[in-house]
Amino acid sequence: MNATTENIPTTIIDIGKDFSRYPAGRYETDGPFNGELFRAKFLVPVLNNNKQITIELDGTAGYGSSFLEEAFGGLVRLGYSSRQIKTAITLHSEDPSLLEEIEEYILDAEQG
Amino acid sequence: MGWTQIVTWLLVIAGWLLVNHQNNIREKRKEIRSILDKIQSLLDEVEIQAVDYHTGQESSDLAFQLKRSLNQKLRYRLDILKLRNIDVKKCYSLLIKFRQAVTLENFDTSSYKAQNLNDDLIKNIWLAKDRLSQEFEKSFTNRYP
Repeated sequence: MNATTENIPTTIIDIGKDFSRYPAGRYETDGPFNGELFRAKFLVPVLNNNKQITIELDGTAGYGSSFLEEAFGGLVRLGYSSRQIKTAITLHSEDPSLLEEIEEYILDAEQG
Repeated sequence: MGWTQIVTWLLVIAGWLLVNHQNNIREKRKEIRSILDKIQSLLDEVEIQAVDYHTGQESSDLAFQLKRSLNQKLRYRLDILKLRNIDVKKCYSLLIKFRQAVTLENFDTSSYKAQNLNDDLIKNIWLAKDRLSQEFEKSFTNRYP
């Protein structure tokens, strides 16, 4: 995903440092560093305030798909369009499969 | 030195270059086969751990090991194959399917439910692993028919 809007400062969030090296679970009931919490703490404020963010995905011990689906696919279920998400959020990882998987969740959620 | 001697030396050098080249190809093939064997062993291990996780008692230790294998370990080995000019593009999307089969449902969740071996979730893990495993073999065969 690439940010295209100009003149908006971009914040970098390193999940491993700023959230947890051990993200896990979908909902708040699943554990302290779940996808729902990550979305609410880092992603929703960016979209609500018309900001831009770069998410550094490497640096954690690994992701379960449930975490990724809830964090990113969950944005669409909250009402944000894939276009809004792609404009505001840039993902960075050395692992192309992670980027592809997140993209898939956003598109799948949008198609219902 | 007469021209016959020059031709002889040229033939010796050409022969050496040919043998050396073929030897390098053989060594590279052996090296890649060895990496691939390690990947297949890792996939077998992940498959067993994933079925244990989903059919036994929920274990956060096992969940951690599965995430580590399905992210770091497999990606590292895929990167090595890519560096050795093996086309692994299709493997990435099948790796996603395998990761999803293991960690999208009933994983890292407070509503964990132990599955039976004939439940769809378990069958999907086996199938996703088989497809990824076969794709790795295909990548190897395409490079070294």
